Amino acid sequence: MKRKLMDILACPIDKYHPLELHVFEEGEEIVEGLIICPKCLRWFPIREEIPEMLPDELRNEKDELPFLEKWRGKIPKRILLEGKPFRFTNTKG
Amino acid sequence: MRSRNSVFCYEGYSFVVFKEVYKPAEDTLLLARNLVVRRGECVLDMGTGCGILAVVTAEMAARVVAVDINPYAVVCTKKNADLNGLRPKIEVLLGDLFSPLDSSRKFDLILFNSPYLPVEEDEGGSWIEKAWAGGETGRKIIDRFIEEVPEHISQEGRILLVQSNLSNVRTTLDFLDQSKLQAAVVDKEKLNFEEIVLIEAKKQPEGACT
Repeated sequence: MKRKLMDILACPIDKYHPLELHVFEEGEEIVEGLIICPKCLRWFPIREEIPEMLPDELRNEKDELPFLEKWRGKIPKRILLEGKPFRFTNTKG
Repeated sequence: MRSRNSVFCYEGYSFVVFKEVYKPAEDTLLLARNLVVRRGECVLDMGTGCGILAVVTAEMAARVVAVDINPYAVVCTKKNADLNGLRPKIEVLLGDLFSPLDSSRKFDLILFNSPYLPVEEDEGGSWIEKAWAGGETGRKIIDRFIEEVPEHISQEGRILLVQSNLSNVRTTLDFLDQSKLQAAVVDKEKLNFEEIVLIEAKKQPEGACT
């Protein structure tokens, strides 16, 4: 993902703009990262250079939680504990 | 679903089409052959599929944003942007229609080869079906597109929309008119069981009486 795409991204759920960008790995483009809606605390992964901004009902917890785990050390605590649609407390009590 | 990936060539460009992604067909080409992109324009390719229209427009455009709801399609588009050397101009995004886009950024050209086939609701959950399934009337996705597109098109911008007579072209033209867009059928093609049409829409001039 190119950084300039952030100019046009809004939260698919509440349309908040601008969103927060956290970059974990970057080459010519952002390879892995996280996009966060500061209003509703929804998080969206950037994987294989593609931002994944699907609505909740098309997302899959089993597919996405490992991503949070992988970058746990770089993800803001409030997302790990209160993030939507998935967070660790959901599955780990 | 096709069992293997395939290759598609158009106007000197080559495309890999993953088996989970809609393969370019007559509807794609109806849109492709009517494309006019001016140098420096910003293009939105909605429902990009394998990315064929994104790649074709990227040659002239300053920036192309390619959106699809199918996770396989966006990876396929990225690959095809690379294959054709146009990756620097193409930005790929996984999302549901306009939902991840902020309306403050307007596009000069918006393309949509819509999912227009009438299907029974909840017919199935595969990603590729989203490329053609338009709900019971075939209009579910087209109607959402028309409702939201005015916020994203520039004052002088053009919208190119492909659909079929199976999902009521008159309704689309009326709905575009209600959304304050001037619309007309600019090309069509008869196939075996349907006629596909290309509709062009623009914003009505400011201050125009309707």
